[in-house]
Amino acid sequence: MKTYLKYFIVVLFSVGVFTACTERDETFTVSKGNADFSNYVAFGNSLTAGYADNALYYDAQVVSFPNLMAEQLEEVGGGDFSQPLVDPGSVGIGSDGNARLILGVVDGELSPVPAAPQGDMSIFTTSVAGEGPFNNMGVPGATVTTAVFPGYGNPANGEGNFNPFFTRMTTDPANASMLSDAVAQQPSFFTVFIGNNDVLGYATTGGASTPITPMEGGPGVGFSASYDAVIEGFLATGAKGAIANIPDVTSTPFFTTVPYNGLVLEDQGQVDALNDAYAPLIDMGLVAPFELGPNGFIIEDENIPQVGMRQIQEGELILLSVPQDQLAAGLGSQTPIPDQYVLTADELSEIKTATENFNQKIKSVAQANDLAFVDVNSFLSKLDEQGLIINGREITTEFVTGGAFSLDGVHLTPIGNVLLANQFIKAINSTYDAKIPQVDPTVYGGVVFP
Amino acid sequence: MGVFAQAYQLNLQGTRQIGKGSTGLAQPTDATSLFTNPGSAAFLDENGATLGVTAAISKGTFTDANTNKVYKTDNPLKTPFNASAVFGDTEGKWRYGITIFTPFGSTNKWKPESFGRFDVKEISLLTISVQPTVSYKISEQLGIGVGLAYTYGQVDIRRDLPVQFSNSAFGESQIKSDANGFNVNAGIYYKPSEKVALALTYRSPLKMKSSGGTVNFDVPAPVQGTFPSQGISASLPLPQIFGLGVSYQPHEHWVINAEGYLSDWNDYDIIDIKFEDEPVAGSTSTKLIRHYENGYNFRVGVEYLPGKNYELRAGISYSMSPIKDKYMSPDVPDANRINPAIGGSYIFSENFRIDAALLMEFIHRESHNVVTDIDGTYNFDLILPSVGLTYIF
Repeated sequence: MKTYLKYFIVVLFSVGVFTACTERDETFTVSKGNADFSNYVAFGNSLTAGYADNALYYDAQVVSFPNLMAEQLEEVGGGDFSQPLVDPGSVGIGSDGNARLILGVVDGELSPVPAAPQGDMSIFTTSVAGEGPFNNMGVPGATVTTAVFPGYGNPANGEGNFNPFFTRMTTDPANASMLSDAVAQQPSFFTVFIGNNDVLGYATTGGASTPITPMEGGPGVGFSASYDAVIEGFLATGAKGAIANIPDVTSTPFFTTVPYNGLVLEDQGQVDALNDAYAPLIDMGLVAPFELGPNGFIIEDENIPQVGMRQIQEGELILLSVPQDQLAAGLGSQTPIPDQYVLTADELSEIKTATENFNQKIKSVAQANDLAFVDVNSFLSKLDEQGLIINGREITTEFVTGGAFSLDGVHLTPIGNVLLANQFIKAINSTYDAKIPQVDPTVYGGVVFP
Repeated sequence: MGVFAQAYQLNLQGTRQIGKGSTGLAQPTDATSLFTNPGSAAFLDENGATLGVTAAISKGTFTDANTNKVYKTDNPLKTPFNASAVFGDTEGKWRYGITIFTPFGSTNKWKPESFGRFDVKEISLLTISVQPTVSYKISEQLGIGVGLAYTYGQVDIRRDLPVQFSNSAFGESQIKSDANGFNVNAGIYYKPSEKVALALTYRSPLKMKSSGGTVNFDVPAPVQGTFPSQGISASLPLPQIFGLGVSYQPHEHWVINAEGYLSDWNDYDIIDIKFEDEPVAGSTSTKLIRHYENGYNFRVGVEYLPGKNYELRAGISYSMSPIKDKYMSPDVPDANRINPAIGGSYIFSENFRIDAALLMEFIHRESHNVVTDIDGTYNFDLILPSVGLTYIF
């Protein structure tokens, strides 16, 4: 028995020591499945470009979702991924020539403030086309109709009819379209995430200026034909790809941060004065009698004959672009909030319809061509309704504190881009039978505090 | 050190016991029997004192099922210990003694930027119990004993907060507290024949109440109002434990033990750490959602006692984790596991002996936590060498 015991002990401990000294490898075997990622081209708008905090700047470009994805694709045969980077130290530039926003402290309150009085104009005046072609063909401001427009980077078209973000990155501003530059690279794989601006432009201007792209009309005019042109352009190169639908833009913090009933009255004098001033509109049923506590703001509405104003209704949205210091000083009470800062129920309904139509089109294109389909719309609405917990960290659509959205309330933070990149990776894995590891969410942040 | 056998529960209360698979409920061996089974202490042949120290060396990894990344622990060496002394008339009915031990503990520290940094990145839970004990020999066959244990503990839990400084570094929260509580350790020892002994033990629930606890937030100045550092209060309900054991001596030189334990962790459900002064980011407490259940432990051990100046022993135990897959968290990696052990003693004289043992534990657990969404595989290896000294009065 003693001998058996000895053998038992020796065997047991040999196994034990061996196990203890061997790193148990639990990683899965990565695989590109039946796709080829050697030349990945990302096609889209500001969300593809890595635009954040209302500007194109280096730190945000580096964490653009396609760049994060490309780092993961390197494990499955992905090649270099070039981007039209701006200088690392630059304050960047936004669509209005502005610098990027940072979180500052104004009158003791946290508030997004521009990092500089104006944007870095050298970004627009210096072409980086020589460093191209660029795998990241995300152009801030691009719509599906402008994406197929030849000469989209041509300054000779005149202010408002060319895109300086494209001008700086194309070798042929006068003739090239985003699509022609993208397909000229003979991509083996593509992502297309476009269409947001076809409705967002309308939404962010309160429905006041830029129209929603119609479904009908030829390439460069209608959504449907333009989208087909983009996808057909890529498919003609023999590439496989992933395409994403567009989220309900009105669930982003740009539209949800300022409460409709943010007119908070604290003394009866104010209440009485407003009730006197708006007595005729109250009689007409356009304004509810003011009360102590929260009240709906007064907004412009050109559809109201003669008076052209009314009280906002629950469900209608006030945009983050509204001058918030003026709200405290009588905007929305003594004077109505101008149309460009408000989305009325009618406008919201137009946005909803357009988004649904666009998404129906995108889904049918994905299905017809066996492309990976990324349901960004469902993902964002889930994030908006329930929030998301990822490795014990809660992420919501809340402005600043939620983590996902940058200081412009529309574009993503680094962690927001990680979530988006991982939605693409999941869809690609499932469609192309691939095993691409997801981006590690634990090292990426949201909004940085001063 | 990670953890030893079932969640926070340590089973390292005697070097001799460790060597035979942590058995000894029905086999009075030395003063550590005051802990193992207070009912058996009255049957000890001699009075004496025993001091044992175990070095807990652990290394662990977590492989994330989504990102394929492997994260590692950076655990310090920990040294749980026990010290026991038994007195009284060895021919009489009453024996009494005191035992000091570390009933529960967990230290687990992940390297920076770990997968679970926003849940738990580092935890240290230490407890030390002092248990005065009496043991009474009702007859030559039957003994009972009871000890009242006072336990003091320290807990320290750190996590990162998803709030960033201007240099992009994340904020941090640290919860620190002392805690204490009482519980009872009782046992019955029954020896119907020279060759067979049976034992039944019960350790009552140990509710560790915090005292002087604090939460400290290291966050950027503009959000310090949202994350006010302040006092906290909490209580940690540690389990009641039932043990049943049999000891069989087929031959003068051989003893075989077989035992089973049930650890009832059902009260360890949602640990609510209350903020005493004001809410933090809108919450009046922070919760650890654990939902532990019953843990089971089966052990066999064999001891060779040649009656010379040495002894040999070996054993093995199988633990069934009280933690469900969907509630595994980075603080206490646990799994059903097989733990082999060996041990030996050298007897210098009638009064002095030295014991040594080596225990190993291997943890492998795939888990997808439903609260944190942490999804992957934990692998922990623990090596636990133990040394004990016994002095016979």
